[in-house]
Amino acid sequence: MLINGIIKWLGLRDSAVDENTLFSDEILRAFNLHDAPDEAKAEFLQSASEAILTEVVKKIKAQLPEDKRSEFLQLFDRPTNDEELAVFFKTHVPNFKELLVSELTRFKSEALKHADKPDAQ
Amino acid sequence: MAESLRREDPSKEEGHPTPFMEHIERLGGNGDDKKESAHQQTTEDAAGESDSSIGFIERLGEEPPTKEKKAGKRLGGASAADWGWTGAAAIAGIPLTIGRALEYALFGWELDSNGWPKIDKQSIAHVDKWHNKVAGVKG
Repeated sequence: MLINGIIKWLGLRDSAVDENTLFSDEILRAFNLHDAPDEAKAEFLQSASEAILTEVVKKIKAQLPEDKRSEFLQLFDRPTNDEELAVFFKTHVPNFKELLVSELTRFKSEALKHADKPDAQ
Repeated sequence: MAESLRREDPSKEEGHPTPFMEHIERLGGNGDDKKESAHQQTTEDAAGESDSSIGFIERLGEEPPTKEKKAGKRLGGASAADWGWTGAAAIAGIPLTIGRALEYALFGWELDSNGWPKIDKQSIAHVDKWHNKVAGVKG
């Protein structure tokens, strides 16, 4: 117990939240993945990122005028370089950053709310 | 100064079950095998033919999600810097994709001065380590 106290005092504990950085693994804890193998964490992150971007795409599609929706989706049906994509976004989706932030926040908020439910754990 | 991402869920005004819940239920490690197998059933049935409780939400008044998922994947592979999300790449010191930058951003709750999710070195170190383990790179 003495050693644990020293470790804690020195700040060497295995802390999920470092006060000096933004890093917090609460999103992993929400999915019971904080002790999971690295492979599971990596897979989760990739899936989460894709889920968020899927929702962003849906929001973009919903806000575009009808004549631009098919053009938008066609960008992803054929080989398109990043520059061409960026040009379309800068012209027709000027609020992409806001949409991405909104969906990222929503994902995390829902995940944490879901984790708070008694039957989720 | 940094704007916080920790705010109320903006989707509440939509008044319908959010699609993230299906992803959450699928991704969660709560050991709900029935839901997992139900979702696998949905995934395996092309064009949403399954009647699983998870799949029906995706079909409610929406097109099949295939095009949007494909677009989302492609978007995730695009350069974050091309969209102005330069802060993440600056910290990482390497060109970043939007998808990877989003993964880093899952571990923070603030925005940088340009309004993009703020990413710190610890987030990058952790995420890269997990990915490198998958790739077989000693980290």
